[in-house]
Amino acid sequence: MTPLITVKDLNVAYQEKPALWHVNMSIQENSRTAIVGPNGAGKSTLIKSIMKLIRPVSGKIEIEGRDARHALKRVAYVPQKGEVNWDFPATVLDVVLMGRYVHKGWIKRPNRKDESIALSALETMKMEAFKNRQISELSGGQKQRVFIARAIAQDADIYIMDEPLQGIDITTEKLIIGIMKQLQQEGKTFIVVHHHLDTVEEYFDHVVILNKTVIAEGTIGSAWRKENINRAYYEMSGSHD
Amino acid sequence: MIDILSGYTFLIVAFGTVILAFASGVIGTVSVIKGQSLIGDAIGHATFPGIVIAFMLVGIRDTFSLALGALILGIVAFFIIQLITEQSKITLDSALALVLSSFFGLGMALMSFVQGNPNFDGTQGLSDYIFGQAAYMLRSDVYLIIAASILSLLIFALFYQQIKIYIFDPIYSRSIGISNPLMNFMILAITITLIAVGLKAVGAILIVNLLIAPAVIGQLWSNRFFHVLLIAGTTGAAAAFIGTYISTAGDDIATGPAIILVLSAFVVLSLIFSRKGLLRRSIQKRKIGERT
Amino acid sequence: MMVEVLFVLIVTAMATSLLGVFLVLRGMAMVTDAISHTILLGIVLAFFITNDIRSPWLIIAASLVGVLTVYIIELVSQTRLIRQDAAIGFVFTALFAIAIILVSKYAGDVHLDLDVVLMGEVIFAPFNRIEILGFSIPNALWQLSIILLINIAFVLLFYKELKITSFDPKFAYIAGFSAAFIHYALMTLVSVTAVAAFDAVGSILVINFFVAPALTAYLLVKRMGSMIMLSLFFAVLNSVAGYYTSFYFDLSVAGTTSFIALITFMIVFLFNSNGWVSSRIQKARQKKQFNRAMILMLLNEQSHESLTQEEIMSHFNLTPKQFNRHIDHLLLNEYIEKQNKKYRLTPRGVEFTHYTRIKYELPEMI
Repeated sequence: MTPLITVKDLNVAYQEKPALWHVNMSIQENSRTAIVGPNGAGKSTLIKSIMKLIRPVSGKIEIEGRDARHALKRVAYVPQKGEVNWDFPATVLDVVLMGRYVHKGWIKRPNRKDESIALSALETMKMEAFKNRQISELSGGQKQRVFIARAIAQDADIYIMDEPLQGIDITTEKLIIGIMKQLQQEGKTFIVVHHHLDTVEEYFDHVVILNKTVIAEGTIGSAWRKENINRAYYEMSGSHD
Repeated sequence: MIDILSGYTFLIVAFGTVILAFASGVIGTVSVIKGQSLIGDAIGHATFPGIVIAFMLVGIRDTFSLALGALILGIVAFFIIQLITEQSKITLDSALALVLSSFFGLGMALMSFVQGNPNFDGTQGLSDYIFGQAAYMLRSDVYLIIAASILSLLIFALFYQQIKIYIFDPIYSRSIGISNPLMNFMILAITITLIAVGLKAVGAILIVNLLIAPAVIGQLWSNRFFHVLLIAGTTGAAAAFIGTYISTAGDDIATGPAIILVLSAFVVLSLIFSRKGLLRRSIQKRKIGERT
Repeated sequence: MMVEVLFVLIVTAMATSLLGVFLVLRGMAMVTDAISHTILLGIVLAFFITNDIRSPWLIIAASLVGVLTVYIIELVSQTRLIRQDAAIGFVFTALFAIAIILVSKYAGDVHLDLDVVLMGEVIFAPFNRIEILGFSIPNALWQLSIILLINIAFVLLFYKELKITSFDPKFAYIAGFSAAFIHYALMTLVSVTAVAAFDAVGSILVINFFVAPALTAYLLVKRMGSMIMLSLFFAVLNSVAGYYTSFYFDLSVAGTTSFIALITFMIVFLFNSNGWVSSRIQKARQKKQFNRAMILMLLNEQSHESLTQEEIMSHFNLTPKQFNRHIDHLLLNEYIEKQNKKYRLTPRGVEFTHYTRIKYELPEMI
């Protein structure tokens, strides 16, 4: 199977210090891929590079054989909570409608159709009852549901999420995983930065183990092995502490 | 009352201040939500030497060149603030205070030079730009305000969706192809332009109030960005109209400060009576208390 | 007599910049800016009653308005309905607007010139004199010297408390220090100092005297004690430079001093040992080193053991000029060698990549 996303020899540096070094990997179409690795391993840097938000020192990122730049509209990003301005006066529905922007040109406002798409995305995430609530009034888990609803409303086929399960309730966690599996049936691909090693096997079918470089990648069966995890978390040069 | 409302001075001043306050209310909302309200204050003060330099260069007090001078110095001040905060451990708060007062000091020094120099005349009007003297606004001042305000609002409307996503979620906005630096620059350029054309009406010191207070009122009454903008613009405009009326009707009440006072009264009323206000909050607290 | 002007300026600068250190460390520069504007309202109100610009009552009354400003700002932002920065911006402009209306309405009845209040005229200071122990000295010099002494006493007495509450207010609270007491004591002194200084330096420029020397010192030091000493030094330096420049070009003394304070700051900002210029140079050097290390690391990979110029250039997007600069350096140091138009690592180069991996905390090759 040809991969959906290919990362070729990616090197990224912050302030002349390498954050990602010689990364070669691929993401399979229609997979649920977890990106795991210790703090400072470059997980967020990797997904931001895939979205072309960071200019690398060298390397290529291709989506279906073409530079990723051409396919960004197909990518829906679910941010980390700290990246959002919670003072912004917006209702839940407003936020989800932002996902429709990708399909709008200049000046055009969201229409009826966009609104019904947004509402059904909220329904999927079981948040329709909250549509007129202010986003900052919601709990952590509810906020996360809204951002995933926005990604669904964006109607993308690649979902990139930065630690979506961080600090949320167990019900929301189960719901998000359920939706992820359901959308996978519909042909979507998921790339998820994930923190909990004990749930990797249960939630994902592919994994990339990262520590500045790719330690292992592939299906859970082939890559998710004790020795690879140990290599990433405990045996890296310079991280003996 | 009818006499005042139809008087030439009143009409021209009111028209200028109302449209300026509307535009400032809308645009100022962006900085307030971004937590950068006081940048407007620093830039307001920093424009003052620009006025004096333009006066020294052009000689006559020509509305357009003075506003241009203010605009340029405002931009310079902003870039120094940005340089200092990004390249050292100095916080935004401190950098604002430093740049604000040094630029104002430069303006003072230049003004004392101009006033002591017989080559320059008509220097009396320069301090109008510190405190604002709406009553002395010329037709050309008002035209400039109208042109700048309409242009600002048009640009804002054109990029409305992008600006909205950029303020709320900057990384998501980049991920869908919006240029954040462009958005930031645009908002800044509009803000400085409004400050520059508004100096004569409300003055370098008070102009920041026109940018902040309407946004605060808007946020107290609504949870939706578009409504906040509308409320901000409308209350700004209403305060400008009432303030201008009070200053025309009463004697020796400066227009700028009158507008600011009306606007401040609106803020206080909103703090108490708005949807999220203190009154409703204390009633809710009591209800919860009764229930338990 | 003119030298007395310089004395007034120096004493003012020292009294303000001493407190400025704590304002900067506590992130309260813009609160002070608000105070420096609103004391105008206090001055106007008190002047209506006392009719004397140097009356002690005027200082007390105007200072109260300053402290009141801080209190109102806190009250408003504690409701959590308005962010603190927005609260500052709206509160001080409202109070300032009242002051301007009062002045413009009653300017005819009282002798109070807005321009003078705003700009200050330190050169008039020597005209208003007072007899102390048989010596005739300017009233402003007398008052500001007393305030300087009070500020010094305050800092010496509460040095430990100021330090703890500036650094970690929560710890201070747990350790039993009243952060609120220190806070309001500091704000009271800031207000009193600002009021006493306003006719020397003007009610807006006084903010510059508070923060500019402290910020310049902040760029250079690591300890609070040295920050205070250095801040006082810059206060004196700016005053002397401002005084002579303004006399030479016939400019407003306070305005000139304020702008010179920015120039002093910018010089230190650009040229201190870890300032803007040297960090630029260091960055450029690091970048060069990094690029060279990158080339070596690439050649250390199994699939890339020997590469042509074109392959290396396209890999890192280098121009021929950049390429030649890096490669010449690497050849010269014998990290790489050239064979048949292809570059490969020498044993020395292999060793270098090993240390580079450790330096950049990178994993060893698999």
